[in-house]
Amino acid sequence: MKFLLAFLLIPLSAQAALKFAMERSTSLGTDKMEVHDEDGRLIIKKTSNWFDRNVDTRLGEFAVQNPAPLKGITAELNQIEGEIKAADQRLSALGRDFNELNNNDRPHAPFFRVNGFRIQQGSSLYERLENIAVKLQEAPMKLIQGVELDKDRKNYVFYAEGKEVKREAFNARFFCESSRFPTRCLAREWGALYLE
Amino acid sequence: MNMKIMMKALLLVTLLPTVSIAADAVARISDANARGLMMGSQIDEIIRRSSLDTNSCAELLAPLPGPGSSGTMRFAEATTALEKVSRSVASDYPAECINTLLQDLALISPTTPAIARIMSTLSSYEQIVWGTNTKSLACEVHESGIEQLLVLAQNAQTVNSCAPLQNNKWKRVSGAAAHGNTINYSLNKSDAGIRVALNIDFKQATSALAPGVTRVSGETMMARARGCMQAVGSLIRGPAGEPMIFDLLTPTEAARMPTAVRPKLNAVTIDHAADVRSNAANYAHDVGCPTIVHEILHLVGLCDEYPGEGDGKICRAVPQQNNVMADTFAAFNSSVPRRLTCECNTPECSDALARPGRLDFLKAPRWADRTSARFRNAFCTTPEGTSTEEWKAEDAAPPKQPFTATLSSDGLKLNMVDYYMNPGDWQSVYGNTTECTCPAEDTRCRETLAQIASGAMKANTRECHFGMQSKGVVWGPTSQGDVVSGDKFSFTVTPVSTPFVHPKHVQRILAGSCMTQVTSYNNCAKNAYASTPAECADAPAYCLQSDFHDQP
Repeated sequence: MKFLLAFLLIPLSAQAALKFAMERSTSLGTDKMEVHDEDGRLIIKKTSNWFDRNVDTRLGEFAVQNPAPLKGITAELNQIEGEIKAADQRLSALGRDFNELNNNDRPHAPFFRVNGFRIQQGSSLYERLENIAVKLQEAPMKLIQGVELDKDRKNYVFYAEGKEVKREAFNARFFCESSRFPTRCLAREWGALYLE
Repeated sequence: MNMKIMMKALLLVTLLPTVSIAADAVARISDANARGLMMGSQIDEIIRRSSLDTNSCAELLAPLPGPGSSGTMRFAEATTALEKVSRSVASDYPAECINTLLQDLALISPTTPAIARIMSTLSSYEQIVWGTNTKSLACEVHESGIEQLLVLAQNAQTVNSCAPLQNNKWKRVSGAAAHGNTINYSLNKSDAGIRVALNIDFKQATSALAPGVTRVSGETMMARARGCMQAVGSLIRGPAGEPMIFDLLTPTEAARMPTAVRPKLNAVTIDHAADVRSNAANYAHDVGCPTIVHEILHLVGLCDEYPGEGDGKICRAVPQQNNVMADTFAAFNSSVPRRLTCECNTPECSDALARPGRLDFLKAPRWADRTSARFRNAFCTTPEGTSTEEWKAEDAAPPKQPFTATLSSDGLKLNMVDYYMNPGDWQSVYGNTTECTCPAEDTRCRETLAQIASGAMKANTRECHFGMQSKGVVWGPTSQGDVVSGDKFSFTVTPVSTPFVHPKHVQRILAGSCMTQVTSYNNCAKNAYASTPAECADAPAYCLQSDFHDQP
C-alpha cells in the first residue's frame, strides 16, 4: 500500500527541499496550507480550508493525483526563491535582511512563505505566489491522513494511509465557534473548517 | 567647533541677511540699528537655549530680549520676525515645545502671512527634520552633520513621545509600536477623562462586489465602528478609572484639529469580496464589533495575545486571563452586554413562546456557553442524544434542568448534560450529553472542569435555542428585559463583569510610541510576531509565563 501511495506522489526536482506555505493568523487560530518537496515528491498539508474558499472540506496530508497542471511550479518557486535570496544578500550588506523588512504591518492578513522567507501583500512577488497557490488548490488531491466533513455535514470521517479509519458525529454547536459566518469549526487535531 | 554649533553658525550666516520684517511688534521699532541689534540678541538667545540640556518648554520658550536695555518680547512674537530661524528652532527644540509655540503663534494672528509661514514650517516639523531641507543644509557642512541632526531629531522625538499628557492638551502619537507596526493617534486628558482620537479613512477595496452583497459605504462603516467602540466604552478605562473615549474621526473631522496634534491618517479598506477575513487595514463588509474593536486596538499599539505556536510565533506572550487581544470573541462574550433577537421558524415554536416558563428555558446557558469550542474539541466527546420527555403546556417548570454537570472523584472527568426543547414539536425536551477528560498534568483543564461543576464558571455566552434563528446581536448596555413580539424573542445578556483589557494595555495606549515606558509589555510585544529562536533570543523569561502582564 505504501508503495502505491508513493506512486501517487508527484516526482519533482530533487534539487532543493522547497517548502512553500500560505498562512494567515487570526485571534481564532492559524490557517495554513503547506507544500513540502520531500525527496522530490510533493506533499501538501492543510490545516484549514480558508484559502480554497471553503470548497474542500478535507484537512490533513494530501498527495497530488494529477501532476500535469503543476508542471513548472517548482521551477517558478525556485526562481522566486532566487530573487528573494538575491534581495536578502543585498540587504545583508546594509545590515538588514528580507524578513526583518517584512515586519507584519497587517497582523491578520494572509502571507506566503518560501523556504522561510515571508512575502506579504504589497510585494511584487505576492501575485506570482497567489497564482501558484491557485494552481495547487485546483490540483486533484487524495487525502492520505486527516479528516473530511462528509457532504451532508453529518460526520467527520477520519483517514489514515488513504483509508477511512473512524467516524464521529458532527455537531455544529459542539465543534464550531459561536455563530458568525463563515462559521469556524474545529476538526480535532487536524485544524479548522470554514463553513457557510 | 563641534558640528552642531557649526551648523547653527551656518544657519545664522545664511539667514540673518534675509530676515523678513513682518507687520508685527518688531516692525514697529523704527530704528533699524536697534531692531537689528535686538534681533541679533534674540537669535543668540534662541541658539543658546537650544544648546541647553533641558527639555523644559517654559525655559526654552521664555520671553526673549526686547526693545530697550531691559525689555522683553514674547517668544512667539519675536519668532514672527525671525521667521527663517524657525528652522533652527524646529530642528533643535523638542517637538512638545514646537506644539506650544504653534499654539502661541496661533494666539497672535494665524492669518498674518509671516506667522502662517512659520506655522507651516513648524508644523511640518518632521518633514524638515527628515526631509531635504535639513539634509541638504547639513551636507553642505559635513556629511556627519546628517547623523548629528538625526540624533538631535530623534532625541526631540523621544522627549516628545515620552512627555506626560498635560491637562486639556492634545498630544500626537506617531511612530513605531512595540511590535514594529506604525501607530498614529492623538491623546488628550481632561477632567472629563481621556480621549484617544484616531483619524480613519474608510475606503472601498478594489475587490469586486460578491453576488448578493450590498455595498457598505465608508460612512456606514464609520458609524458601525463608532457604535462598537461605544459599546465597550465602559470596559476600557484610564489608570484612575476615568472614562477613556475613542474618537473615531473622518479625515475631514480630523482636519479641524491643529496640524501639530492632528492624528495622522489610518487608511482602512472595506472589502466586499466573498469570505473576507478582516485585518487592521482591511475590513470585511459584514465585520462585527468583536473584530472591529480588536483591530482598532491594533491601531493604538496593542499586539495579538492569542497562542502563536500553531503559526510559528514561538515567543508570543499569552495571558492566562483572557482579554480582547487574546480570544476576541470570548472576551466580548464575557464582558460586553448585548441584546439577542431570535426568531421562530414554525407556528409551534411561536406558540411555545407564549407558554409559562419557556422563555427562561430558551435563554438558559448550557455547556456551549461554559466552554469554548477549542476546549471541547481538545477534551470532550461528541455529544450523544438522550430520550425525549414531555413538557406539559400548562407546566412552568421543565421536566429536566437545562444544564447539569457531574465531576468524577479524581477531578479528571466531567459529565455535562444539556436539555433543549425539541424543535420537532416544541412540546418535549431532549438531552445532549458529553464527557470531558483532562490529562492529569493539565492543571488549567482540571481547574476548568472544577469550576464548571461547582457553578463558579461564568456562563456569559448565549445563542439562540435550537430551532430558532438568530436575527442579530446588538452590542452595548441596555436595560430592556425579555420581549416577545410575534415569532421573535429578544433578551438581554449581561455578562458577569470580567476584565476586557489589562491595565497594561491602557498604559501602553497612553505611552504611545514612547518605548521607555511600559517596558515589560514592550519586551514581550516585540516578539509577538517573531518566528525564529534567534529573533526572540533576548525575550525575558516572563514573556512565556501566563501572568506576564503582571510584571512590574
